[in-house]
Amino acid sequence: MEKMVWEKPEMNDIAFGANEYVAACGDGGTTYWFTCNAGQIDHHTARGGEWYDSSTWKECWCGETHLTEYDDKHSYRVYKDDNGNFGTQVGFNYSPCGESHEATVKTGESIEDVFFKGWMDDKRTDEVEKIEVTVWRGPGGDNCHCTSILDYKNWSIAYSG
Amino acid sequence: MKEYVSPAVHIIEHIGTLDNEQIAALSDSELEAYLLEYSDLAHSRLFRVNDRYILREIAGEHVLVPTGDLPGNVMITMNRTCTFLWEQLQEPKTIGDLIFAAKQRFDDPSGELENHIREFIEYRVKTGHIWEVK
Repeated sequence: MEKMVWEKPEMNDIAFGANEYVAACGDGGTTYWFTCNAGQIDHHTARGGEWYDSSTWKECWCGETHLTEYDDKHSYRVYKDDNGNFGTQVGFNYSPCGESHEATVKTGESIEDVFFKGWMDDKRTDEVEKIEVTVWRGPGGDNCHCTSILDYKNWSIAYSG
Repeated sequence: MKEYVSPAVHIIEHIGTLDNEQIAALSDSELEAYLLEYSDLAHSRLFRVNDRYILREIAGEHVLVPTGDLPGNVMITMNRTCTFLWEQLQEPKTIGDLIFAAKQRFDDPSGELENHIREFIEYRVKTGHIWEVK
């Protein structure tokens, strides 16, 4: 048997909250940190912002002022991939929130069904963009979150059990 | 009738000045005196894991999960050499046993293997992850 190279033995503590410990020790499946970052953040929908229907300069939660006219929003149509083409539309006014969500693949579920390949098209432009993303429909299967980190192997794991 | 004890062999490092033939020629009492003089008696001490830590493999990482009255909000990840030592110490072993076994499994280009193992045992006995077997 080929020998491995010796390295200094190390133990590292991982502190965690009670809820995460319970989930790691019995529920099964793997929970990933899904970062909803695909596209440009629409400051006026992220983090509970308001919709405006008039062209008015408004102060945003980020501390800057933005033009709030509807047509100036960063929002996207999102489609499920169909052999490299636009398939079923799963998002109609998607905008990234910038947050990381706990996204669980339950034991027995296919990871490719939970996180699937999709395409985004920017609604602000006349061109049809085809921006590749990985889509997650949220815990209820009725939402739309998109990440530009396409390969789940590059995501952090929150816990696994 | 004597109680049965599983046979066990432990490696005790020899750091004295006599060669093997000279040692073989010593009487029992001379050998004992020689070992006391030259052999670090710590090498005959036995160690094993604190069995309230359970070894699990999670997402490709080896993790120690505390049980019993240990604090339950901290798990411990281990690299591969630490995992190797932990697996070895499931049964009582001397430091010499561990060094011998590690040299069978790992190349040691830095020459730090023995020091690392000694430091690991010394430290982890203090932290309670490793127990000395009396």
